[in-house]
Amino acid sequence: MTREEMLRRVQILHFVLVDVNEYLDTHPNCERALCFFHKYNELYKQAVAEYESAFGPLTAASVKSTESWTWVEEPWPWEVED
Amino acid sequence: MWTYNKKLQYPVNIKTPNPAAAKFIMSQAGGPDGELGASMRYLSQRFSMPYKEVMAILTDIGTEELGHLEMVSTIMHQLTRNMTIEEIKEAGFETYFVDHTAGVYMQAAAGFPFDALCFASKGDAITDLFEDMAAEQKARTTYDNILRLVDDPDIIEPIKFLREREIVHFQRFGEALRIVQDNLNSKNFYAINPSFDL
Repeated sequence: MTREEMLRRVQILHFVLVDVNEYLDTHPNCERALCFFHKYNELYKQAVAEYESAFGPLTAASVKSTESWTWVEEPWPWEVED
Repeated sequence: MWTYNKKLQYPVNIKTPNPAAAKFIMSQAGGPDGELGASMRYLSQRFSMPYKEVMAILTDIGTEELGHLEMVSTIMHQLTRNMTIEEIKEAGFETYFVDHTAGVYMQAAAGFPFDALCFASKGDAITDLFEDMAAEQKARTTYDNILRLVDDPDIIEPIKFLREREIVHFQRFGEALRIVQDNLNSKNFYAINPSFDL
């Protein structure tokens, strides 16, 4: 997958989590929504790990390099994708 | 506390700069019904909310709105990239350019700067949630108006996404209001202010 395709997958899964998180705030006892949240949270974590190992950190806390501060290297979100 | 994620909530990739469109889309960043006001409104109101579910929804929607502010700011930035002085004049963008060049500044389409009056934090759970439901509808109308004014699909797609979120948030605030009312005396919701008297 290209960088753009992998980033899209992370964005889609993160959006799923944001939406069901807000639903759960007002329906905290909905078992179906809770089960859905856990399922997609696993997929999200996996997608983030795959993206970060190929293209660098999405959060400063996930910088792995001991050589240089890779947080500043990757493009910022407001830059137009090629 | 917040942690920055190096991605937009929904992609914005505008290939053709268009300062004329930036002039009115900027209202959804720093205008009266824009994303900056929305985020700060919910993140301020949550401190006086008496019920945990409502504290949660204000925190999480307020956080999502910060992501929407980043999206609208990105749209402004990409619409005003690589402008020539001729293009600035043609688009009537010189009134913004003279004060802010191509920087992102929070103001309404009509030019007045961001105003904290739109935070509208009243310290009353019922009043604040009605305010929030109205705020989501006002933002939805503004996005509808923007969609009447633009024809570039690169602008339309992220604006449609933002418009849909206003409708979802209206629904969530309606549920939050019901949670507040379920905790009150159904014969007189206004006997007390649950944000102050409990």
